[in-house]
Amino acid sequence: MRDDTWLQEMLAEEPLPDDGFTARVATRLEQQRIRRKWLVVAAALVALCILALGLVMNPAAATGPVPTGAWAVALLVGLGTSCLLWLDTEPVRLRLPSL
Amino acid sequence: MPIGSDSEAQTRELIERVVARDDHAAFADLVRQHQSPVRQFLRRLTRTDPERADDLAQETFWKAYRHLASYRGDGRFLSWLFKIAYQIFLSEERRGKLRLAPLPADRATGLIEGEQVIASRSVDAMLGQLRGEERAAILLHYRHELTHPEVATALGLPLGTVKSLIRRGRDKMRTFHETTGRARRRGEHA
Repeated sequence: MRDDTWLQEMLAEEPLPDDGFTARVATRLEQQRIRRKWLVVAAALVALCILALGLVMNPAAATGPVPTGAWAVALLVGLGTSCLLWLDTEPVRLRLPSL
Repeated sequence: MPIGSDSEAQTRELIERVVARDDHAAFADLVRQHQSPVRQFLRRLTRTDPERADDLAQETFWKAYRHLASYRGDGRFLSWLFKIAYQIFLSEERRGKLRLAPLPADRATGLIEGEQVIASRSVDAMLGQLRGEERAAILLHYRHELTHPEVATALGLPLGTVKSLIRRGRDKMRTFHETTGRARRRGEHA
C-alpha cells in the first residue's frame, strides 16, 4: 500500500481558535428569531385591521351601548400592545429586524 | 482526528436538546465543538480570504440549525456538516462568488518568512492544482480523516468516483510537491 503519510503531515494544522465565531452565529440566530416574530406581529395586525374594518362596515356585528368603532380600536390597541410586550420580553430587547 | 464515541454521544444529546426545545445554548455548544474543522475545510476548499470562508462557515451552521431535525444520526455529525459546507461551496462557485485570495510569488526565490507561513502557502499552492471535487475529496480524507464511504456521502458522489478523485488528487499533489522541491533545491544551490 502506498504511503500517504507525507500528505497527511502536510495537510495537518492546529485547530482554529473560536475568535468570536460562535457568538456571531448565535447573534444571527437571535436576529432571525426576532425577524420571525415581527412577521407574526405584522400578520396579526393585518388580521386585526380586517376584523376592525368588518366591524365598522357591519355595525350589527357589535351589539350593545359601546360604539362599533370603539370595539375595533380596543381590539387593535389591546392585541397590538400584547404583541409588543411579547417581543420585548426576549433577552434581546425590542429592535427593528435588520434588512 | 476522528471523534470518539463519547464525543458523538454528547453531540447527539446536544442535538436532541436543540430539536426538542430549540435550546440555543446547546446549539452554541455544537458550534463551538465543530467550528474549527468546518472553517478549516472551507478555507482550504474555497481558497478565498479567511473572512469570506468564515461567512460560508456561518451559513453552514445556520443551515444545519434549520435542518437539524433531518439529521438521522446514521453517520458522524461532522460528516453531515461537511456535506452542508460542500453544498454551499458548490452554490457559491456556480454563482461565481468566490474570489481567490492572491498567493505570494514563487517560493523558490527564498522569501524570508516564518516556516509555518511558507508551509501553509505551499499547501494552498498544491491544492490549487486540483479541481474543486478533487480538493474536497483530498481534504476530507487526508486532513479530516473521513473514510471513503463518508467522503462519498459528504460529496454526494459514488464510492468509485471518490476513490478516483482521491487517487488523481494525490498524484497531482505528489508531482507538484516533487517539482517545487527540485526547483527550491536548484534555487538554493545557485
